[in-house]
Amino acid sequence: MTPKHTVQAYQAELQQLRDRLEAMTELVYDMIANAREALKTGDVELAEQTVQLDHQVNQQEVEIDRFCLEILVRRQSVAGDLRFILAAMKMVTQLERIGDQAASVCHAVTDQPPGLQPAGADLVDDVAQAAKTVIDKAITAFLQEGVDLAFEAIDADDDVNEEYDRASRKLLSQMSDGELAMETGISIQSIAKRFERMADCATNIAEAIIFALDAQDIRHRDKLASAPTGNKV
Amino acid sequence: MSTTSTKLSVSDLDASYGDHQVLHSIDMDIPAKEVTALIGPSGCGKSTYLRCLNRMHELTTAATVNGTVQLDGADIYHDDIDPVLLRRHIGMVFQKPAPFPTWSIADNVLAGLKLTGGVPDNADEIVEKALKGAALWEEVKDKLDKPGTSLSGGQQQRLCIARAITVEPDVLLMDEPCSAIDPVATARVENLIHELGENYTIVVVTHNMQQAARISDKTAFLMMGELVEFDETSKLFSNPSKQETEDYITGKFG
Amino acid sequence: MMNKDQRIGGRIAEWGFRIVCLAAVIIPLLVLATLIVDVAIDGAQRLSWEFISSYPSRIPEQAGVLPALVGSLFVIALTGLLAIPIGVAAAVYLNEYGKNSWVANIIEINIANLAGVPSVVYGLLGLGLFVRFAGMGRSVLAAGCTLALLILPIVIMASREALRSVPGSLREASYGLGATKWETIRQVVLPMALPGILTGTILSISRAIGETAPLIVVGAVAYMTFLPDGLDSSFSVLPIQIYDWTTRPQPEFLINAAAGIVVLLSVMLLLNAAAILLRNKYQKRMY
Repeated sequence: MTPKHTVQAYQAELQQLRDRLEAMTELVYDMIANAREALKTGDVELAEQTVQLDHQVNQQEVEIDRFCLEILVRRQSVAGDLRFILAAMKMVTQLERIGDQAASVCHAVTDQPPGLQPAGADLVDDVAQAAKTVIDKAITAFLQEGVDLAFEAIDADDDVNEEYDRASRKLLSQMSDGELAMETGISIQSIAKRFERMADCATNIAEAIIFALDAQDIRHRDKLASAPTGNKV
Repeated sequence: MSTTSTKLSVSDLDASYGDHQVLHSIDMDIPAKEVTALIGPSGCGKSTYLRCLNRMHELTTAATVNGTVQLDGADIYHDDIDPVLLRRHIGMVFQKPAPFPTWSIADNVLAGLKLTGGVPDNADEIVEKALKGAALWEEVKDKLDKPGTSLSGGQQQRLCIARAITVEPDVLLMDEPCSAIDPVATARVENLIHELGENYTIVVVTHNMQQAARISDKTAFLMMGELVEFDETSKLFSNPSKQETEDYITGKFG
Repeated sequence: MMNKDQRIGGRIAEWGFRIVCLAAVIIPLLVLATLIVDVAIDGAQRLSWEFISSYPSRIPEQAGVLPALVGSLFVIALTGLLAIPIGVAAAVYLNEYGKNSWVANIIEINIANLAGVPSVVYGLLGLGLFVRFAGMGRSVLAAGCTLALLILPIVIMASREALRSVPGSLREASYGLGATKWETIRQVVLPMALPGILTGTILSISRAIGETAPLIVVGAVAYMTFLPDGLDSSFSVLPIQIYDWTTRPQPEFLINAAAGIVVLLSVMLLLNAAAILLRNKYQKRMY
C-alpha cells in the first residue's frame, strides 16, 4: 500500500470521490441489467422505473464533476492524484452516457413495437451480452485498480462490434424476406446500436483507468501512430 | 525540444559540513537557457547543492565538496579556478531580499561592479538596462538615489535580481527567491524568472512545488541528499517515475 | 469564564509590576538630578568665562581650569586616535577572519575579562610600560596610551557586536556578486556596522574622560601654569584638578571643584552629543 496523504482531509476527499464513483457505477450497472431484462420480458413497469433511475445518474454526474473541481481548486492535485481526478471526470461523463443508452432502450420497450418479444430481443441479446462483458471488465478494472483488466475490456470491444454487425445483417435479411416489419426492424436495429454504444463508453472508461493508473494515454494510438507527421509533443 | 545543450554538468558530487554528509554523489546535467527547479523536503540538501554550483558552499566553516561541476566543460573546482571570479559568471539571488542598506537603488544595481573595482562611464545605461531586465525600471526610475531598502519586499527582490544580472553572469542561481514576499510580488518575480529563462541558465531552489511546476522547464527532486528524479517538469508533476517523488509531490509525507 | 472580576488578581499584579518598573526608572534619575542640581548651584557662582580661561592659582577666586580642560581634550583625542583604529581592526579580525578558531575564542574571553579589570591596574601598567619602559615620561602620550589600553576592550567588544549584527545575508550577497572578503568588509560590512561601532566608542570615550585613578598613577599634575604643548609635555586633566581642589582646606576651593564638575560634565555631554549626531547621520542612511 502506498502511504496516505499527510493532509487527512485530502485523503478523505479522494476516498469520497472513489466511493461516489462506485455508487454511480452500481447505479448504471443496474440500469443496464434492467434494460436487458425489460427487453427480454417486455416488462413495461420495469422499463419505466429504469428510466427514472437515469435522473439520479444525471444528478450524480453533475455532483461528482463539481466535487472534482472542488478538490482541484483546494488541493492543486498533481501526479497520481491529478490523473485519478481527471479520469474520474471522464468516467462520470461516460457513465452518464451509458445511463442514457440504457434509458433509451427502456423507452423503446415502453413503446411496445409489435414483434419485439421474443424474436427481436433474441436478436439483440448477443450484442447485449458482448457489451456486458466489456462493461464488467471496465468496472472491475476500476474497482480492483487493474490495468490488465482495462486492456481486456478494450480488446473485448471488438467482439461487440462483430456481434453488432452479425445482428445487423440478420435484421436486414429478415426485413428483406418480409419476416420482420420494417418499423420493428428499425427499432430493433437502434436498440442493438445502443448496446454497442454502451460498450464504446465502457472502452473509454477503461482508457481513463489506464491513464489514471499507468499514465499511458492509449486513446486513438493506432491512428496517431500512422499519422503522416509524427510531431511528438 | 531536445536540442538544448548542457550548461552545468554535475557528476558524482558529494558535499559535507564537517562529518555530516549532506549530498551523496549527485549526477545532473543542467540545460542551458532553461529554468531548472530543485525541490525536496527541508534538509534534503537542495540549498547546499545550489551553493556548490558557485562555490559558495565552501565559505561555510568545515564545508567540503567532492566531485566535479563543469561549466561549459570546465571544472569549476579545478585548482586554477578562482572562486571569486567564478561567482561573477554564476550569480546568485537569495531567499531574503538583501539590498545593501547603506546604498541607493542605482548603487545597488551597480553593486557587483562597485564592489569589484570600478563603475564604467556608462553607469546610467547599465542601471537602466538591468532594471528594465528585472522589470523594475518603471517603478523606480524617479527615485534611483533613494535607499534600496526603501522599496517593498517584492521590489527589493527584483532589485537583487537586477543587481545579479548587472555583472552579466551565464548562470543565475536562486535560493527560494519568493519565500519572503507576498503573492503579487511572487507573481512578478515568477514572471521575471520565466522571461530571464530565455537568456540565462537559471537554477531555482523552491519549497513551493506549485511554483516549481509554474516556472521551470525541468525539475529535480532531492531527498536525503540524493537526486531521486530529474525530468521535464510536466512529466515529473503528472507522471513521476519514482514512488518517492509521487509521495512527496502529492503530499504523502509518511 | 471571561468575566472581568475573575481576572482582577491578574490586573493588580500587572499594575504592581508596572509601578515597580516605573520606580526603577524614576529613582536613579531623581538621585542623578539632585546631584547635578546640587553641584550646579554650588558651582554657579564661580562659573564664568574667566574660570574656564584661567590657570590654577593659590587664590581660589583666581583659579581656573584651562590647562586641565585642554589637557583632558588633548588626552582624549589621543586616546580615541589610538584606541578606535586598533579596536576596530581587532574586532574585524576576531569577527571576520579568526571566526571560530580557538585562538580567537581565547582572545575574546580575555578581552571580556580585561574590561572588568580596575582602572588603577591599567594606571600601574601604563606607569611601568609607557612611562618607564618606553621612556615616555609623565607625558600626554603616556596618558593617552594608558587610557587607550583601558578602553580598548570596550571598543573591541562593542565593534565586534556591531559587526556581528550585520546580517550574514548581506555578506553572502556580496560574495555572490563576486566580491572578495576584503571588498565585502570594506564596502558592505564596515559601513553597516559603523553606527554600532560609534555607539561603543561614545561609551568608552565617556568612560575615559572621567578617569582619575590611572592618570594619578601615570603622573598627571594638579598645578599647571602652562598648556601642554606636545606629546611629551606634562599635563593635567579635569578630574585630577577637581580631585585636587576637594583636598584643599579652604572651603572656596570646594566651590571651584563644583564648577569644575559642571565643566567636565558639559564637555562629556558635548562629546556625546557630537558622537550621537554622527551616528544618527549614518543610521539615517539605513531604513
